[in-house]
Amino acid sequence: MQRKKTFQLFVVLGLLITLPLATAYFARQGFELRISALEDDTPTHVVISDVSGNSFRVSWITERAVIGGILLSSQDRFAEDSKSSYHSIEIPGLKTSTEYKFELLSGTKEFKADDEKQYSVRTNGAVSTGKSYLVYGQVFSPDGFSVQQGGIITMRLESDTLSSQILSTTINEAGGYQFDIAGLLSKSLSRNYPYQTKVTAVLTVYISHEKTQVEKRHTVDFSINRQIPIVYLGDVNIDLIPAIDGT
Amino acid sequence: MKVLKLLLKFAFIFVIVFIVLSLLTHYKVGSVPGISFENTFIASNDEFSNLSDESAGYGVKNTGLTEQNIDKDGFYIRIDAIDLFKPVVKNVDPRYKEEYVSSWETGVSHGKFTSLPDQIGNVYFFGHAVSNVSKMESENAWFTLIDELIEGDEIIIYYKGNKYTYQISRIYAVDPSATGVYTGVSPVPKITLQTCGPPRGSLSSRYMIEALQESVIEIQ
Repeated sequence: MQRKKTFQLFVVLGLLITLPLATAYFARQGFELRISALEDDTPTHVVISDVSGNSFRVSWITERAVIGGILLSSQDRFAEDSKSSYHSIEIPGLKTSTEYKFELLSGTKEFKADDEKQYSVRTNGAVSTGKSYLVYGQVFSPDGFSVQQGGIITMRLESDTLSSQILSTTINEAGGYQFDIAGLLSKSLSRNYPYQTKVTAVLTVYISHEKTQVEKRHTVDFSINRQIPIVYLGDVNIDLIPAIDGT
Repeated sequence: MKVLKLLLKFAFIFVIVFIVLSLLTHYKVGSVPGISFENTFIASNDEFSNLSDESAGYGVKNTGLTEQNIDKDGFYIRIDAIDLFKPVVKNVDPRYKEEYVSSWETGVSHGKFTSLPDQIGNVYFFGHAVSNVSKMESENAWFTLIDELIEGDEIIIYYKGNKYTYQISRIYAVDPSATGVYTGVSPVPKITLQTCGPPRGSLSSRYMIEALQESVIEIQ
């Protein structure tokens, strides 16, 4: 009996000593203690965007960093080069005015839309000219002073009378993102959207598979400035540089 | 003997805990890509002096360069709109006139402490311009004609086996003391070309061209 108690005492003592030591060791090695089975490759915040006469883009987030891809119903595959939690893939070389069905590839699995049907998109009737008109911006994290490293961002332009289609892309490690708006179409994809005038840019940012999105609006005039004002994910909005009237 | 048994028990528990934690870490799969900010800093004077000089000369004045005959791993700038195709001298220090003037014998200068084409940030190129175009070649004034470029024109950079295509997005002039154009950061891959002017070749202002990255492809 005494022997058993002594053994139990040493088991407890041993755990008390070795657990912090082992944890400190692994922390120093830079390991993260994560259990695979608890993580999920399921695509979330799936955005179908940038639809043109011969291409479209799909962006989404996964909890785990995996290789993402798109599998068209024609069995053509488009896969990313490296693992990430933030995915954005353009499918080029498509036919005009054609409906395409596809599934998302995430890790080793294939995923359909929420209703268990394949995702679907229809290209529009006109092929873009191939010229580009690049605009760019930057996203700051909720803390207000560091850049948002990674995420998905979408943009649509709005005026009083017309709204544009949605564009999407990933946010890079410097918080930057870039859109090509040369072939921007109206929401209905029926006509070109006049972007070289004062319009409202509606920017939606997704940074986690579980958190909801953040939407910000900025007035822009891309005919005079290609840079979109900074998107602050936190409650930090600096719209004007401080100044007082000195006259 | 008792002490030995106790030590054995300690060792046994330690090994078990170590194995369990090792197994857990084994299932770790990927992580958010690492962050690299060497391209977007504003260097202090100390950092300036600590950085190594990787200037790479090409040794020849190039005429007749084409995508087919360049060194695939080299560094070149090509602007078809003004028929310019020159080697780029990497990491030229803008504080030392002798250094940058001699770099123009080889080609266009890449500004030291600024980004490189394979990084996110501002890649800064500078070159000489002269008011008399006939002296452009003899004075190594490779950027003389960049004031003829317009928004939308393409600039191609070859670097380490890749072809980077940029589209001109902004053209402007600044005072020579506005060094923020050199040290400034960019959240997206961008290049800046700078020369003397306007007017062409004048030291009273600096002519600036910014271009955003359109595409990157491997050189075949």
